[in-house]
Amino acid sequence: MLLSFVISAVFFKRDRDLRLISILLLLSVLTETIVYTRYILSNKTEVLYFIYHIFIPLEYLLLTMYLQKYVGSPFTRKVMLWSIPVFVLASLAISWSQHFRYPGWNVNAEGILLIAWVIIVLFTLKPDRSLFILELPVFWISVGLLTYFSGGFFFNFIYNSLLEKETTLASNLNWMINKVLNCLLYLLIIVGYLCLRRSLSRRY
Amino acid sequence: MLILVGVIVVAVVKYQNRYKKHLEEIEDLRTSYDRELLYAQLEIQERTLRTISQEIHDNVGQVLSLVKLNFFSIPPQADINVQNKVDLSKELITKAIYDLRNLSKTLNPDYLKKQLFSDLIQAELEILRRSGSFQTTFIANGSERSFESQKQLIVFRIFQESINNIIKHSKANTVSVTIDFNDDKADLQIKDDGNGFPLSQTEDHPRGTGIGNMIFRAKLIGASLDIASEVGSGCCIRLQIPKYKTL
Repeated sequence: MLLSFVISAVFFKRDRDLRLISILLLLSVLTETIVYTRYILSNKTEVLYFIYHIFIPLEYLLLTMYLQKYVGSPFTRKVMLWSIPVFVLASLAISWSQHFRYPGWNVNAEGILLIAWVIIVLFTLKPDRSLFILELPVFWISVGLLTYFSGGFFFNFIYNSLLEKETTLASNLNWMINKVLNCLLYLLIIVGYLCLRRSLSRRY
Repeated sequence: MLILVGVIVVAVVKYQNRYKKHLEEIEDLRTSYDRELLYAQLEIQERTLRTISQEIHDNVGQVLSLVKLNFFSIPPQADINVQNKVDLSKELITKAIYDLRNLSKTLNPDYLKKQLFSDLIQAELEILRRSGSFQTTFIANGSERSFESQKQLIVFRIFQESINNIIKHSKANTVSVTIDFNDDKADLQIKDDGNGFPLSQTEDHPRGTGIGNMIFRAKLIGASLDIASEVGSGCCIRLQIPKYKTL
């Protein structure tokens, strides 16, 4: 995550669209830093899930703002933009009803929407005259998001219940699934940024 | 996982299809733009030639006609040498007026569009023959049909360009022209027995050069232009012109 943030900072000024991703990565780094610091200070007994309940709506806002730029249909773009306030309110309502525990339901609700937007983007992406799809940053970021949210979908639903019954198993699964998916996501974001460097040198 | 991979693969394949279509559209636009640009250039060129043709006919031709009139009004001279010079001058003036009139006609696009194509070829070959440097033959097969006026003009300019190239570069003695009028196309062949040239010289001819212009004008009207030549074996230019004017 830190590496992807550093790389995004290098390219911050060079692509306007990717600035949203850069801001998101900065927020991710800050969130994880706060959560991890609290976790260490509390002798590894308490995870500050509350922070994630604030982070997730912001994450959805930034990702949807980024993805809507690549959708051709004005109607779909409007739907995506209108979904932001709807999701923020729904997410806060879910957080309240779940007592700000692990935000599995929030992540899944976010995931369903983002998977839909990502699929729309991938299937309607306008051809760039000089670049193949594998050279487009949006492709790699979209694949990363698709992998991350679909990969953790079922686990997110059951995590809170599993945590109450089998704490060790839940922690181990969380480490395996979430961490691996996170690594994959940030790796693909890095690939996207590296493609940006290549695409900037080939454009005219 | 398989579904995920499947979705990504399908998305990539669909993008690739859109990409190819997009490139084709760009190419069509580029071709269309080039075509419009060339039509505009040809229009300007033909207007200029029309103006020159009119100037030749109205100004230079008139002046020479007056000169001819003056010469014919000179009474017979007692001095044989003077009389010979007057007679020679009359011949030269008459020839100059005749040549200028022909030049004016071949420059004037309105005149060219109204003539039968075979008549235009024969007139051009006649000028070549009268120069004394070339022997020419012309064969027309099939029943002649009219081309669209703009197409006829472009084909005739291609023909003129090839004749100019023969005069300037080939050092040929014989020029033979054949035109076959088929049901759906016309086939024009221009052969000379000159020096010939290596074919690689024609492959990279950009627009603006004689052959480059011929190739581009041929493409503009949907005709195919083939040039067959070897050093020492002369040159054969073949132009296949599709479709006639529908009456």
